[in-house]
Amino acid sequence: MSRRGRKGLRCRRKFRGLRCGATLSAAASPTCQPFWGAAFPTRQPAARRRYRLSVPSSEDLRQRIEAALPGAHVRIEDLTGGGDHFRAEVVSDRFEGLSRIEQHKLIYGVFGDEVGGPIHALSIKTSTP
Amino acid sequence: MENTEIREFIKQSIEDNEVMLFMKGTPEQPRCGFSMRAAGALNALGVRYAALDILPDPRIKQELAGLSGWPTTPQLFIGGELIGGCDIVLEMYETGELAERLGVEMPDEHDDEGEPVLADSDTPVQQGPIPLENRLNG
Repeated sequence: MSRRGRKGLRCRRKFRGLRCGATLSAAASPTCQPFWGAAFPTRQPAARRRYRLSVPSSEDLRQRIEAALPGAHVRIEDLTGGGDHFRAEVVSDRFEGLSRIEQHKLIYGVFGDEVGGPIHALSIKTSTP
Repeated sequence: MENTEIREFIKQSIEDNEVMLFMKGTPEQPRCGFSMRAAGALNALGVRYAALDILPDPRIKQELAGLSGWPTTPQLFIGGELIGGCDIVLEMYETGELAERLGVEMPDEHDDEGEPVLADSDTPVQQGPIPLENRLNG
């Protein structure tokens, strides 16, 4: 039986080649959150201005990671412009010999409780030079 | 339900389920893009996994973070060991490490748009520890 013939439709939204795959029944479709729409809502400039003073900036994050891992190359992207969903790409020789988990924990450790608090999401990519 | 009971329950679910995903929402109705992607990777590999929604009670997230030392959700455990969050899971999916770790084949079937086809299973999720929220009231 063809995939499309099965009961219900699958959500076709995708991210990095991965299909969401949620079943789109009448009940489920309104809550199927698009990858980019829900996780990274686009904010209007007015909202951004309003929050700017109270939220961490990409530059803050970069400086703090570099202070914790001297010599690291850090690139921070503010995914929403809202100062709460960030992506950090960090290249450091401190990662040598560490598992991915340990590498990511090093970065999370820089921010402590702020991850999950003011920093809602911190997506991390680590590598060694 | 006491915090210690929640912690015990989380610990038990990690031990009892070979593949255990803690996420926001459920695999059918994820409530966060990151959780959706992590669940999507597992769905794409067609493995059976247990999933626990952490949203019904804020203490679940608290206790889970304390237990694993990982501050964010989703969190994937395989064989009782923390594998990582969304970034690590996706990275491992892309390199094929995740498939290898789970002992399954990478999906090599592609549809007309050259995208991986989802495993032919309507409910890859086993009914494991999901009823936690029901017990929280008891």
